[in-house]
Amino acid sequence: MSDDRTLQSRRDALKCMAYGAGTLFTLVGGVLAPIDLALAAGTPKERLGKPLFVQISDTHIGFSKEANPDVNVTLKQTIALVNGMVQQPALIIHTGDITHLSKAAEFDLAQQMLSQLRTTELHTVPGEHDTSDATVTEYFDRFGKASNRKGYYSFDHSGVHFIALINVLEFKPGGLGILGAEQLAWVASDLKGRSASTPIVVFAHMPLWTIYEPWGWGTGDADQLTEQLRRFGSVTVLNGHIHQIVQKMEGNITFHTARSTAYPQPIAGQGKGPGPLKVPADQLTKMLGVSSVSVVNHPHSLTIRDSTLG
Amino acid sequence: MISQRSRRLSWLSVALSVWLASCGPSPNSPPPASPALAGPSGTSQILIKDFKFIPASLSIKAGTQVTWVNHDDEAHNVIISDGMGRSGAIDTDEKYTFKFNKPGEYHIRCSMHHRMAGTVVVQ
Ligand SMILES: [Cu+2]
Repeated sequence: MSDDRTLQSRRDALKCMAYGAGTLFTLVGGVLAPIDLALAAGTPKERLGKPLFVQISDTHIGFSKEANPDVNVTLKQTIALVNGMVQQPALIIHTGDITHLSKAAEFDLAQQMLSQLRTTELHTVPGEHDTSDATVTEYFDRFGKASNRKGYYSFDHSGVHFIALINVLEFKPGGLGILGAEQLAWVASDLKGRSASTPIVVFAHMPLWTIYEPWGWGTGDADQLTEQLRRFGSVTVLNGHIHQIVQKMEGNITFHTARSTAYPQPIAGQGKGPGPLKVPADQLTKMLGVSSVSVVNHPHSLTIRDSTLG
Repeated sequence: MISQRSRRLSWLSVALSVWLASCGPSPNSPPPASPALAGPSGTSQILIKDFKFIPASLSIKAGTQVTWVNHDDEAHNVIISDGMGRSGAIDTDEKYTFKFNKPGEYHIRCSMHHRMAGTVVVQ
């Protein structure tokens, strides 16, 4: 029965994720589980697990079109939401498109706003909007230190191994962005000798599985990454880019894309392209948000196969 | 006087190419988009709309200034033959201009949307 309830509450949580304000990732028994922030507020601490990190994505500072004339306000709301969590997450992950036009002033404002988070450990990867300046330097000047300006790096926290990847610079002609041979070789060396029981979190801007190729919602050589991740017991792959939640389970690998804090985008293939989606003003905040991950203690947390959304 | 005469000649060549196209073997073939957009004064324009460069292929004379204008709600950029030229982000209704001095075939793409591709042929 409790299994069913776990599954049911998970289903409810995922439902909330589709329309609610945000998601928290908890680590339960070494398993990362996304939980809706609003739901998390009313959940007993022991069932919720330890908040590990919050994923913020696609803040698009500098955007001011009809789909959201003030992206600063919605980022501030997001920050207030995260700062309001009873237990603060250990770290924050930003999965790219920090800015809209890669302008210095946009990056400066974004950094200033993100510094208002109570949790100060921030890890980032760039989106294609962060590398659209003529010199491709503005992002790396500010956030390039962790990766020695390469865009990919790894770190450990609370026994979880985190891998940050970049898939917005190289591409297959006419097709998808790629990780590239050099980065894939680095991942292989980074994972070499690591125990299969180590929980792994991989994050990059563009989805690391193909959601919709005509719109560039995928990564051309992601299968070579997935192959390397299969032997691990718990893998969570987090992306942004598509401004909506889509989830997939493949073996022990959970793929999850986050909402934007700035503006929604259409469902795959609906319309001329992946541009900003204009929705009625009272609908907008329901389509924006963050994701958050904690550590939980129920093995059945893994079983979320009926959770595909979007 | 000389400049006036060469301008008249270039108009003639445009008219001639349109006439040739209309007499082509397939009466339903699309009109040649690039000569129509190439102005006589050494400038030319490429529209960015619905995640496409329009026209996708443009033929110009050496020394022509090409201006890209973004008519999408989404931002784009212009990368010319990987290293020849690169714009910053081009927001809605913003423009980017590049002067093509050397003859050749140039590949045009947007680093933000890899399906966006075009060609500029400089004679
Ligand atoms: Cu583009």
